[in-house]
Amino acid sequence: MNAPWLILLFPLVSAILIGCGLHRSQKISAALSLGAVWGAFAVTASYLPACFEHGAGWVLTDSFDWSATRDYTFTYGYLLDGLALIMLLVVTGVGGLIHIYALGYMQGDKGFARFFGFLSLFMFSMLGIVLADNFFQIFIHWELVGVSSFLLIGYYFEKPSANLAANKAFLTNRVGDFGFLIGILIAFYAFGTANFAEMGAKLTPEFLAIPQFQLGGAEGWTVTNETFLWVAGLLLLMGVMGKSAQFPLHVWLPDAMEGPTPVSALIHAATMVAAGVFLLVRIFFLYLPSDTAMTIVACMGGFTAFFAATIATAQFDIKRILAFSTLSQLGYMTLAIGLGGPDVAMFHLTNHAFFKACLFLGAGSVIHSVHTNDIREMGGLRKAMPVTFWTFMLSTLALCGVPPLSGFWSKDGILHLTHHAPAYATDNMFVAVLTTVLPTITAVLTAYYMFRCVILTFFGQPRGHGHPHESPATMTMPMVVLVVLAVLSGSIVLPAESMEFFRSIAHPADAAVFEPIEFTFSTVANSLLIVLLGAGAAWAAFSKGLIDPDKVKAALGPVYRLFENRWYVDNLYEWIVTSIQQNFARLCEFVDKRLIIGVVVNGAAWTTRATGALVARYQTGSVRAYVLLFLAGVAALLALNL
Amino acid sequence: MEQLLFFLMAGGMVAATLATIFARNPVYSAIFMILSFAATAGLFVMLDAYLIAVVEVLVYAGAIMVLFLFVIMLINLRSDELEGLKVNPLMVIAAGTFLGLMSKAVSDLGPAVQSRANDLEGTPALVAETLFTEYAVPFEAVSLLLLAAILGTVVLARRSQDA
Amino acid sequence: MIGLEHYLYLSGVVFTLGLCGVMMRRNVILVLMGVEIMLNAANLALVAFNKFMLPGADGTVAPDGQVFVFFTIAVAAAEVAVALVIAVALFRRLDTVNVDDVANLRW
Repeated sequence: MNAPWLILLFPLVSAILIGCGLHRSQKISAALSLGAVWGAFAVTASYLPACFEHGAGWVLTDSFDWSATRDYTFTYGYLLDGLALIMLLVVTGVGGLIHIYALGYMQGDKGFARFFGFLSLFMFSMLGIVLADNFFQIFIHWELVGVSSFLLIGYYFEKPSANLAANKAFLTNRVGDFGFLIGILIAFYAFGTANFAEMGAKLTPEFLAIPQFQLGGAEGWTVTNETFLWVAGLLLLMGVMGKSAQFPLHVWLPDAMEGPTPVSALIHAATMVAAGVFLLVRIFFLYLPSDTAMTIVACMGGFTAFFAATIATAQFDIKRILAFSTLSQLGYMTLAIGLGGPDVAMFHLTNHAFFKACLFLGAGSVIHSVHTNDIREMGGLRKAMPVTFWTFMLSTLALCGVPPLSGFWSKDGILHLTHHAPAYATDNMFVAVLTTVLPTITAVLTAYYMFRCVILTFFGQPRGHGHPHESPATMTMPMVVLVVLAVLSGSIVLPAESMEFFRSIAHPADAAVFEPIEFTFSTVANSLLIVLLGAGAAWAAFSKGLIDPDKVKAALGPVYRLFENRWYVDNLYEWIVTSIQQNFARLCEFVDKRLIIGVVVNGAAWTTRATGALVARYQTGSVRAYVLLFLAGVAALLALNL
Repeated sequence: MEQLLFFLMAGGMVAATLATIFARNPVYSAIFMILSFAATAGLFVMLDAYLIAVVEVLVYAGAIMVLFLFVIMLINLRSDELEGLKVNPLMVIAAGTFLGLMSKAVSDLGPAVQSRANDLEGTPALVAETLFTEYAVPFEAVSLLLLAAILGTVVLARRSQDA
Repeated sequence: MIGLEHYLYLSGVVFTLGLCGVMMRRNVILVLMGVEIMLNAANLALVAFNKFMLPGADGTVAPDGQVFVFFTIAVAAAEVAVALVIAVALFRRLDTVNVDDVANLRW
């Protein structure tokens, strides 16, 4: 029995059934969707003992022919190894909890059944990425994830802002997917296969040296497979930028917060944005041979981490703060991969999924209670919403990396990695700043903006209107489960062993291995110092009033405005679209409407009409005239032949 | 004898055709047309095309003429609507030119054409053999055409009743 | 001696007479008769050609021309049936069979 197919089949069947009529009944739809996700979770979990027992070599795979051409047969299959398994557990586990949360959060919404249908569709798409055994299958599910994300962001389709956000997310992802597809095709061209296992087996130094073509004559530049691979790697990185919202394609994620909060938690914190990081780990072998590609991945990650953290310090929308925090954490993961630590990245991805999903659910709970997203209108919610407060607080501590919570192990693993960075990341001054200095600053900023958010939301005097209340159990229960996971996931198994597990599933054998961090005084002190620095600043500014935030704002001046306006990236894109693209479009419109339609198409039509008008005079309706004309024609033919 | 018969038939055919065209009453036209076709059937016999001669009489003189007469009766034109020819000089010129060109074409055939008749005899057996072997597919196509004609006739006749 | 050209001249004369009937008569039934006469003239030419056709390599002659005539007669029969029904329909609807009165099929 090929049970892994069930993991894909459950959500797919659920989505189809809900789409094809079951949506009439809200209860059945929700039950079906929940059953599908937990069913997938159960199937996944049943493989866990086998995976632990066999370790790195454990792999299950199966496929069927999907479309055969003369030269290549496209297959659809699954590749279930330790990496996929851990990702599946995260996706189905966190996803399942969020499904339960949504039962409470979406209660009474008229699109309740539709929402669960979309969630199932999303689960199917996402699980397909995780299980895919080849590039084309990943691409199909990549796009499916894009579609379901579009549907979920635009769930409140009556709201124009939600529609715009959905469009923005979709279009931004299209930009990335364009490069992604070209990257897939280049890799496919070089390897002659799209299957990951076959690609990995083919990747040898001899293979890398095979020349593909020659540029500039015999003396010129020989383009080998090695070049092909890092070009393909960079193009694939574009897809990752889109899905994982890395700079410069990050602009959609903050806007995507227009969707319902469970969606933000599921898609834009725990799973979909992690797909890009997961993909990077999956195809890490493509990057490994090229220092250039690795450097670019690391720089992109390091910059995004810092860049997003600075923006998060100047936002007031609770979900946007979390969104930029997500960007920043994803940057950390990408950075870790670029520095040769995909295992650390996976570890952080897992931990991040737990505490960030919990934070989003907490934010959703708060929003549900006070009906605003603005943290300036909250405050003092600690007493009214104790469960939400404690889960939120613990997740914040985990995110900031307070030992011994999960974030400490993975985040400090990444920081440790930056301090022992490979040569390619430290040789160049500029690169060294991006990959080693900024991440540490980012850690301080993380503590600052998270504590700022917590203080403004839960401490101090209530600034809002109405009466905040604790959320129902369907909403608090998933939060509690998630926070337990967030606290323990780093340390329930001893950290060293847990790192060992992640290394066995995600780390190629020949990559440089770094030492797992020890739970020693210096690391703990280091981490605590960072947190205290950030948290202390937030506490001083927003709780005690020791520092007046407005004065800081004034002192920082343009820098603060830069952060507040998200480094003007959106404005830049807007300018590109309105002034360059629009004018180009106008030129195209002129060519199309005036030259092609006006002259060519309408010209042809006009010529035909004029000819017709001329000839139609001879259609008199008189039989006699026709016979006469016909006779003249026959006579002419006869005369010509004589 | 042969020449006498030919000119008799040919003269009868031309005369009957002329009468068909110039008769004021359509019933007379139809009668004269039967005569013209009968003369043609005689010429077919002279050309040893026996089957075609019989078919000509059966189908044309029999079936088609009855149809013509039937429709003429059905329409039952009033006498004031009976009219003769409406001649236009252009038509005469056209017809004359056409006849002249045809004659020229025939005379141009000259000695290239064999003037001696072959010994072909169009018996039913011989024509049927050719028809059902070499021309089997066109034969079936014609059956389809007839079917279409039947259906078309029925449809047209019914629709005219509705109106 | 009666040769091919006699038959062809006769066929041409009768064909032209049928043509005159089509051109000059205004009664739609007479026009149809003209068409039938033209077809008949063509039949005569076909049979004559067949009779004066050169024998093939094996010394025999195939009755191809007569088969063509057979087809022509079949087509003519079908045509007459449909055309006459159209004439009847025309008469019922417009109360005329004069082709000059029926000139609606024009641009």
